[in-house]
Amino acid sequence: MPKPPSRRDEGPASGLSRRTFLKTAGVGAAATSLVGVGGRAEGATVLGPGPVPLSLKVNGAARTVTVEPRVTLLDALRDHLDLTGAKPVCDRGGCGACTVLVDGDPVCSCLMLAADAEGQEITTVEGLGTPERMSPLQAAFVECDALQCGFCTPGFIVAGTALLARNPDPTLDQIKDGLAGNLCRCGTYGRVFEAVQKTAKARAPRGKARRG
Amino acid sequence: MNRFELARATSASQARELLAEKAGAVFMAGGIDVLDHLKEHLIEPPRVVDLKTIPGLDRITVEADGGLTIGPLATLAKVADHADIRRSHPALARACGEAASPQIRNVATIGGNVLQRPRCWYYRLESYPCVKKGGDVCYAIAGENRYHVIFGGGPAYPPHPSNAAVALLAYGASFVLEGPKGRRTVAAGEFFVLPKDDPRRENVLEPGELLLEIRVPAMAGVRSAYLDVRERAGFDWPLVSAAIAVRPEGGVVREARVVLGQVAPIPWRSMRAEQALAGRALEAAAIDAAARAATVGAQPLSDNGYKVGLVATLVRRTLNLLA
Amino acid sequence: MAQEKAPKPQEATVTYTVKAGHASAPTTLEVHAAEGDLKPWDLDSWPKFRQVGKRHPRLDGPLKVTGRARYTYDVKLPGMLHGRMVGASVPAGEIVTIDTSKAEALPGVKAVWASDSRTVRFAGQDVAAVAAVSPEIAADAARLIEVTYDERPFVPELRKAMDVDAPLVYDPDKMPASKDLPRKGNIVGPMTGRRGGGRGDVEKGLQEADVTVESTYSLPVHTHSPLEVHGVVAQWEGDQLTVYASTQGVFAVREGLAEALGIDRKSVRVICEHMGGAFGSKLGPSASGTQFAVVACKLAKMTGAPVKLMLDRKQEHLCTGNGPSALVTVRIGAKRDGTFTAIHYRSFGSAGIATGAGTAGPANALYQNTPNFKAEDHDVFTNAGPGAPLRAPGHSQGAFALESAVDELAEKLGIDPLELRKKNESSPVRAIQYDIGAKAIAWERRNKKPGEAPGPKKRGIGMANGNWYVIARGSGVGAQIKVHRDGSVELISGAQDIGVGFRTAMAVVAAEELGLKPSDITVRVGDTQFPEGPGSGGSNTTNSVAPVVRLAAHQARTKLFDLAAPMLGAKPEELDAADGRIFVAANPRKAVGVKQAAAKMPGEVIDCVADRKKQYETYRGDIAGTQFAEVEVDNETGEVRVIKMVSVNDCGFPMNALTAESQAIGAMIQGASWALLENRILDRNMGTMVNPNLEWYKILSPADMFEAVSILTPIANAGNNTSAAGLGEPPIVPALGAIANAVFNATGARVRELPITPDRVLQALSEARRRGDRVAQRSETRDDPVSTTRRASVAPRRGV
Repeated sequence: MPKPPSRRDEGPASGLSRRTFLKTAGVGAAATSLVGVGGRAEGATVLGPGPVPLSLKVNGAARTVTVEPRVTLLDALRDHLDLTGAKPVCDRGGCGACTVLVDGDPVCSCLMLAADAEGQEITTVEGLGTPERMSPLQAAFVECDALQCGFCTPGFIVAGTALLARNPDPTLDQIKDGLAGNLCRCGTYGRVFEAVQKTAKARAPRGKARRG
Repeated sequence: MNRFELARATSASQARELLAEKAGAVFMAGGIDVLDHLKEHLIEPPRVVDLKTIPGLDRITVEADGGLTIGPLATLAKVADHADIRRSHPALARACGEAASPQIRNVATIGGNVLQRPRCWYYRLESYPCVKKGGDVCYAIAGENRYHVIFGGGPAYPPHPSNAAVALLAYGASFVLEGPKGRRTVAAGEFFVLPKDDPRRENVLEPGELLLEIRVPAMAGVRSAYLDVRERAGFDWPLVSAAIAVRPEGGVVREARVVLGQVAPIPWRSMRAEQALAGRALEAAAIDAAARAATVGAQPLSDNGYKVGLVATLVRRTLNLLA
Repeated sequence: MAQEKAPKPQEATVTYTVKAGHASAPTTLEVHAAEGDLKPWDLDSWPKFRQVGKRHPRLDGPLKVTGRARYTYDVKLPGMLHGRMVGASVPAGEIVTIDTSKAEALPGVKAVWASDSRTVRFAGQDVAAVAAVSPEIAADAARLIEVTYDERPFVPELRKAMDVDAPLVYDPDKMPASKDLPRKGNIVGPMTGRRGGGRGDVEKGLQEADVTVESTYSLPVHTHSPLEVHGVVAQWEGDQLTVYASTQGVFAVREGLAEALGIDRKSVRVICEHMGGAFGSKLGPSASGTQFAVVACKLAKMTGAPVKLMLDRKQEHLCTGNGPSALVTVRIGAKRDGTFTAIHYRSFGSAGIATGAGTAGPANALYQNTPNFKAEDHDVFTNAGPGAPLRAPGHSQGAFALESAVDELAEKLGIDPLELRKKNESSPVRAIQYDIGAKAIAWERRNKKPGEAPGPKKRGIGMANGNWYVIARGSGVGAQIKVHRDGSVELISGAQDIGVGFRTAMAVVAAEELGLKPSDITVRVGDTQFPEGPGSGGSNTTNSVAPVVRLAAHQARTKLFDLAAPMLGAKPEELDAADGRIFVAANPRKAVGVKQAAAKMPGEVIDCVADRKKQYETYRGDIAGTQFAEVEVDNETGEVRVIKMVSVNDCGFPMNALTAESQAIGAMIQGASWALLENRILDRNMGTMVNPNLEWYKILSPADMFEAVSILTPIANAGNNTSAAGLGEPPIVPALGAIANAVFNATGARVRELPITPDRVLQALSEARRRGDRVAQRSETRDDPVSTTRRASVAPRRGV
């Protein structure tokens, strides 16, 4: 009996149709290819592909994780440093739930290799306050009810903190733009803006003219 | 992602050596596009060569004449926030500042942005072995093509994704490349490649070549702007975008460059629109003519005919900003 | 679902007379509560509340804003392995072979699982799974699993699936639909029950009308897209299974897993302390299109190690459920003065390989005085992931269609849409809500002639109604209050907080009884070892659990009063409690702290467990809402931006006004997202999803945010001793219709297909121009229905 037409799902090792199409031609390497062969250019550092120790400065403390180069900053924080505040949601930098600060700038930690964060100051939501001593923005979120399920909240707190650091007296439009990379499915946006505005107002030195 | 070596280059030439050493290796700038490719297994390089560790590649220099020399590793945020660029080349600052999200802009580099592969969903999903990936089929033609191109398509139809490239072409920028055969400078107008020439690439970058510099001519006496239309106000790819630069002289347009984004596989310069403006006062008659001219030759697919009207509207509105 | 009828004679009951309804129109209601139950809070109680109905910040707020709240995805156990599912890559076919050998051979892989089921009906269906020592190796291993398929013809799209020649998703004998319902190819229905049926003679009613409208509306499949994906951590200790689950129902998970694994329920403990959203997709043990939780338990058993198995975002879109698509034709007729004579509601929709696409709920519930009515809901099978209840399932879709038709009728009659609705209103609650909402949006600002505002950016205002139901679990719900000797108080409930503020709302109820603040109470939820709670669906959690919490708290209060009475030289029945003190009601200066009274307890703890015996009569069995929206439409680009929405909602008595408002605001945002952006797109040729991510499956972003106003109309609804009703779902029902009607008012062009994207707005505008359809024109004959059934849309078969 002739075999019916079939469709194959195969891993890359099959070499079926998954060729790399980069300018550097060549067949795609198998997913499980291991140690690189060949020399290294003089003076260059080459990490991996196996686990390597990385020195990360997280929330002011020096931490070391030993991970493969392919591990993202998000996974290093969550799985190796027990900092689970930043959340995995879309895996492609599309929602901001994984936002952390790198040298004060908000980034999507799911789209950054842990290795790329070496030598920089990483701040996670845990570093901004504790339940007993929340930051003003964190406290404002609670007062304004700017959270529901809370899964997007750490990302908003981190992005909002960075926004206020850059722009202590933002207009509503500036707040919207500054937080445009953070999605919320429960629908907390209005109250998030209130919390940011409340925090900004509380910080404003008395008598200072407010920018429009 | 597959397991890979991460090689940290300390110079451009070393980066190229590290790449050449390992078949299948790739360069990585900010990593936004490379990581997306890795996560979807569109590429499985044994080695990733990090360019961020090369000093000086992120520098932005304003030349004496007002022109710009922009290092490819300058982040979109840095370009968008640069006071001089905002003043002298506002379309570029705006195009960078409107891209993606604040988080992405803090990491994505202008070089990476210009060189990024298309966002076409067939391309970006491993399960569709499309023309751009060496396959035989473009799934967009008879499939879900509402976001695809109305100019220059075939055999692939994905729009060029870079906002910045649209502005750079409008400013007549050029790209300085360095590869095994040495250094060359390619004007933006020659840098991007249509699929009919080679569906598997979007630009002329050769294997092993690095983008070293983006040079943008001074724009003294030029007025320019960038606008786009989107479904979602925040964090979305534009449906259509436009970057227009005009040099008025003696009450008329001496020179104009009209470039459209998200309508073609390359940033799409509309010579017809430019010709409709040349030598005319920037008023309603010329503006309307240019807007209509920009749509000539459009070949919409089954679901993206709406882009044609948007092109005209956007060209009109952008020109009105400059009038 | 709605209120229970009068009790059977042998149940012991107690009768209460309550002042029910809205404060502006109180009415007397007699209820028959279970013996021992308390008199329901009513209109007399409302002004005296100290905690209930006020604004209380969430008790779990500090944990969540500092990243200390542990969700299922955050759980880490010693020796834990990482699991990963593999789903089918074809939309229909038979699995010929599954080869897991390469995956098994990969170092670090500890177990693999392969599905016994060979028939594939949608891309993403479970095929296999692995467990490995790291998430990276699990992902590597998953890719090494080789599957071959014998592909079959498939049909991914609703309209195509309705064709008589369409490939059949099911062989007729395998179709998961009642054999009593009519079938034609992939179509099943019309359905009966609440989603079907009718009254009067709808054809005659339409004949009797002076003006009729017939229009067809459609919308695509939406995915729930909670931020936390589905997932579990499963751990066996001997025969005891502990599962951390991101779920709306810890007890449903326990039940489902016990059954699937063939073990006793007592051997299964399910924990859900915090979870990252669900919107209806996490009501069962796994999810509607996947058995991942069962698989995780099996992998854990096989390996002897805990297994964390979380889906990825693609899988979340493909197999965890979705809100079905809909294609609805509404015919509605009225007399010249606006009185409806007939409503005929006919819908087809696809919940993929499952049933559940009915949308006739609002048509059945609204405008009940309409003498002639018929609803015909049909399910259409397609080769796509099965649907799951999505926040008021079918109702926002049905309200979009019905309320758009009402709006079109108003236009044709030349009657203000608000006045037309008032005229036909059958709910006394909504009758009160109209003017409240109209005032808040400033209804008088709306264009008298749609599209008349100067352009190109035109604003418009529209409205729509929504309905929901009082859904509660009348029995099988428990709660526990513990007052410790040191005065600390715990409140314990097995129900879970899915983000609505359930914890805090329950603390509010207990605090009201005990004379404390909610923040004085430690609340523990989401564990099958706690007193049973309902699944959090149907907006039933608060109104099922609050009355039991009140009972338990009341028991504790009674015991505390017994302890305080001798300290105050009074009788317990002379006492009251507030502000942390127990005092003599007639002489409040005679007081003692709650803590002081507690210190006198004979043992170490006052432990009060209460359970629910029955739901009883309500003032209304339906929940009313109405919504107003203001939009701005760029007539040249087609871009739509929401400017303001006002939602007026009945939720009985809100326990916590702050979190209730957040529910309503969240619903408006989600509704706007559905109306303007969301679309689950399947490639029409390959049958696979082209946007299984959050880049192209677009959810409203902060930059799109508008002014959202939530107004609650407290109703003493009885039904339970707190008069609480649910609010999770009601406020989303009117949202789609309100926005679509606002777009019409802004432009004079009607968009009948969601999402209202720029291309559709431009298409509608150009059609309106072609028809010369300026607003001044009003067609007055009954032979001129406004119909779009034959009009092609820009993207004819996109995603639906």
